[in-house]
Amino acid sequence: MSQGEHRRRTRGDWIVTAALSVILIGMLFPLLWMVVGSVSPHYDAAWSNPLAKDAAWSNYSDLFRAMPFGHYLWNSAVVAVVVTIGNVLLCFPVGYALARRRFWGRGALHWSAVVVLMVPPYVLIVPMFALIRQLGWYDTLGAITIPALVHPLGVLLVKSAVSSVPIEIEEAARLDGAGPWRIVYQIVMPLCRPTLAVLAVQIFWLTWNSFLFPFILTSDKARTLPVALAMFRGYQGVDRPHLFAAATLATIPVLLVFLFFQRQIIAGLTAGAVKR
Amino acid sequence: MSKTVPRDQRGSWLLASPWVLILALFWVYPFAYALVLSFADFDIFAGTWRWVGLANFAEVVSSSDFWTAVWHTIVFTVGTVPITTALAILLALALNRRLWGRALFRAGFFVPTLTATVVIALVFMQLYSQGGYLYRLADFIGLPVPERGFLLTESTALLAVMVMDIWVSIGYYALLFLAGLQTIPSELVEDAMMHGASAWQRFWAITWPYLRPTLLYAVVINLIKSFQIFTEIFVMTQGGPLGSTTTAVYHVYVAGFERFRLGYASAAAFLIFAMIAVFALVQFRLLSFGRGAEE
Amino acid sequence: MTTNPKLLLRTILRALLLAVPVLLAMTVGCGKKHEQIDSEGRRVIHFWQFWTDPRVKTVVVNAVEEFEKENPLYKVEITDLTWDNGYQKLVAAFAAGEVPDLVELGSDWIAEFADRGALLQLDQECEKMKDKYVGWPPAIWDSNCYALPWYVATRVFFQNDDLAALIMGHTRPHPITWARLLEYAKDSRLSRPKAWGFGVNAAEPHRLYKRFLPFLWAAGGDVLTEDQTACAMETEAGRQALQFIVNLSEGQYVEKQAALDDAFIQGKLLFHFSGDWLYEKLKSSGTSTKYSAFPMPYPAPGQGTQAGFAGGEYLAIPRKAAEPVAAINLARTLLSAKNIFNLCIATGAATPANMEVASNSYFFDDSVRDVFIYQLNEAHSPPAHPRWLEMEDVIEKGVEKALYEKARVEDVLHEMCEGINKILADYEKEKKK
Repeated sequence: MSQGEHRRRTRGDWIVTAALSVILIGMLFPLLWMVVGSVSPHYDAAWSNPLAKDAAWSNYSDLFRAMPFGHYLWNSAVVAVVVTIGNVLLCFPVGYALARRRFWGRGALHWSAVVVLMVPPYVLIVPMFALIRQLGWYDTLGAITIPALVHPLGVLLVKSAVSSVPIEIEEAARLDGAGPWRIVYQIVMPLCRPTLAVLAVQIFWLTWNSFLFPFILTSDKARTLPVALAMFRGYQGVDRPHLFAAATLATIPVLLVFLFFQRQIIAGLTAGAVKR
Repeated sequence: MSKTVPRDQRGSWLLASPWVLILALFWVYPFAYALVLSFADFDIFAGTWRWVGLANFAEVVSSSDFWTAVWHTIVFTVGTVPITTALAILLALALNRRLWGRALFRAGFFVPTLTATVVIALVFMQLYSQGGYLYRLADFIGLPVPERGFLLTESTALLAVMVMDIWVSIGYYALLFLAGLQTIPSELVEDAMMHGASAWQRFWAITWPYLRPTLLYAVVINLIKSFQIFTEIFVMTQGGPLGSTTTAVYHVYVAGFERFRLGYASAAAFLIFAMIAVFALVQFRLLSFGRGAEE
Repeated sequence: MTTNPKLLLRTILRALLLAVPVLLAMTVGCGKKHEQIDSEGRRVIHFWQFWTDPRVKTVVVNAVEEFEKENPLYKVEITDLTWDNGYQKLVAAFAAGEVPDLVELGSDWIAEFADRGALLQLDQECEKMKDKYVGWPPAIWDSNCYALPWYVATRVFFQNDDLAALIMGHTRPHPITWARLLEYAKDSRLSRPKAWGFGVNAAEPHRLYKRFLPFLWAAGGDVLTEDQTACAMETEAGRQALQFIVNLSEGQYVEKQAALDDAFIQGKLLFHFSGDWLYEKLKSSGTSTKYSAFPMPYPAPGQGTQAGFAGGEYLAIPRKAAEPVAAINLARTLLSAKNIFNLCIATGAATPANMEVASNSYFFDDSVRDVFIYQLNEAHSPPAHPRWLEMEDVIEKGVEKALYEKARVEDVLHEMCEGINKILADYEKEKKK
């Protein structure tokens, strides 16, 4: 398993490639179904030929006409980006403190992250609703952005990543007179680049697909895509073609984000960031 | 606790402040509320509270529906977590090789996770139904197919949801493992290969130690998520048929939002939380055994 | 003791950090809830509704704007609730002490809300509307009226004319009876899997029971006794009805409602019970399947009734609403003949809640809609009881057992009644507390 080393592709590699290709097709099939179904001209049927003459590509433009879909897309994007950047920046000092520092309340903070992750959110929505209302944040992007700026998952991920960074590098920096914040952002964080990428993708995905809290805490002004998708389930039956079209549109940005960060991981590593 | 904190240990609270603030502002109150609620009988229409002590907990514990739901959740978790993890590791190992189109594969396997759960659930509903493609495929392979489609038959419904969950999660965890694998210094591998170590030996001696921390994290996260499985059930089976797919959180949801019994729902939720905590702790101990003290 | 100023500061900060949530908690309880007066000085009416489908929402929005024009001192704020999750938001808001001024409730929820004192009694308004509107039974609880019918719906039986011509030799079997239905549905000329006699509902909450109850009612039975104190299903009528569905469903196409509708559209089902939405889908799908609609079948020639199922959406006003008077006015606007008609067109409903609207040729000139309106007259609603949803669950589980586990009909009925009687007993006990 080596990178940066140019060895000839072995026969084993080709077998693996073949196997992966087959599995990949199997994996992507349901999604293909979704994309194909999105141009179906029938109300509920999901099978259609996208190349057929009556393929309803208008399903996509319908979305923008029937509801402020662009607005919802924008909301989702803003929230996801802000929350992701926020988490990347803010989880690091916290994770670092939990991993490296000994201080009063450290255990409690660690376990609080675990607890928040583990309690089924349904029982929290009533007080959350009341709280957000009280703050006057109902139906604002703030309601779904600010409480999510530090996600317990991010804190735990960073903590475990920082723990496996060798301490010598930090010691060296400290002897040079670097303060804790410099150490966190300029020394430890770059060393954890793969984790950073994983964190970013994970948080982005969680936020982009988050349904429950955005549903409860917003109405039409701050609505995000997953909530908008729920609206396609009508009184009787599901408006599948439009739902699938909306879902396809909702998946593309995340896919792009992922592709972008994938390159970052590779770039960071081949630059020798983790060489000991 | 000494009065004077050493210079390099100061400012810890400041470092941890983002989480402390978010916690204090947004999580403490809802938690306290939910906790208090579990000890009360809350009539949401009249807006009145009645302290009932442990009555809600007693009711939850004596409810066979609750334990059935818990059982289904355990089956779901035990059925999906190991398989997902094992397959994800294999996938990560495969994707770690320098293959043609590697980036394409990585993106491709991750796409299921990127798609909205609701939509995936709907697609699978169609595929699993009598005459749907998955149904026909299973029939073609020779698997015993139930007459009514997988989701509408008591014995296969939960299994069907589990398979779907594995399908969705593999790419996600493979990505995590991949990140872990990529921290392996190449010299170690070259060294081992020069010394004639077999692939198996290489895996255990080199790959495994680097994979372990990520594995621990992945398993615990997967466990927590699996224990809280809800959306798929909500969309695909609504707990049926005959309650065979009612999971713990779904039970809480029905109690709280269809029967309006928020006190009972809170109590059940905290019991579930306790169970998750125990499960996770056990996993944590099992997997971190042998590693240096982490905290 | 030397006090380290930094330590002191740290302690104070920590104390503050911990105090913040406490302070927040204290204020949450007594702060004001949603806006009562908007930025332009108009009083705000909060209206919560479920029609999120863009086509239908437009109708609602137009009606609301009409109201605002006639009442310039008011502004209506619509909160959208989705069909799937809407009730979560409803419950969360009620539990948080926040109530809308006008809310849309499903027919099976009204009794529960009313019983818990959550709704305002609308007897006067109901009295005024009684003659012009239909669908009153679910809105009445404990002799008081709590909701106004907005959208009512029933189910009829659809027939695939081509298959009918093949099997029965003709396409107008009216009036059809249970025995005939069974005979035709099991005809061997129906080649599975291309064609089935009947579409059976799979386990789908809030749907399966709608298959059983109409037959129970048609046979002269009912779920509860007149005074709603006991289960009344363990009777000959109950046995006949349940046995009939079991017989009818054997070996037939089992699926969820949406899939059954699809199958009918594709011409795979001879008979299928469904609602007006199917009619809309049939028209918009451009299918080549020829179909007709008929009222529910009679149990036997000259016996029983053509009872069907009726349900719908109603408008109710919470007791704690801030603007009840304005809410009633808004309701009146939404329920005007014109707006009801528009709603029907947008939703594809064949049975308007307003009877004046029903006399419009759009309804009775249409061969299918006509049948729906006739059926609505013969339809029953489930008992209006606060614990109805729990009973519904018991009934559905029972029907599931009979259909899928081939349990004995008598045993199932007995179990169902046991369950229902227990629910009734629990309810009586709670009332006494």
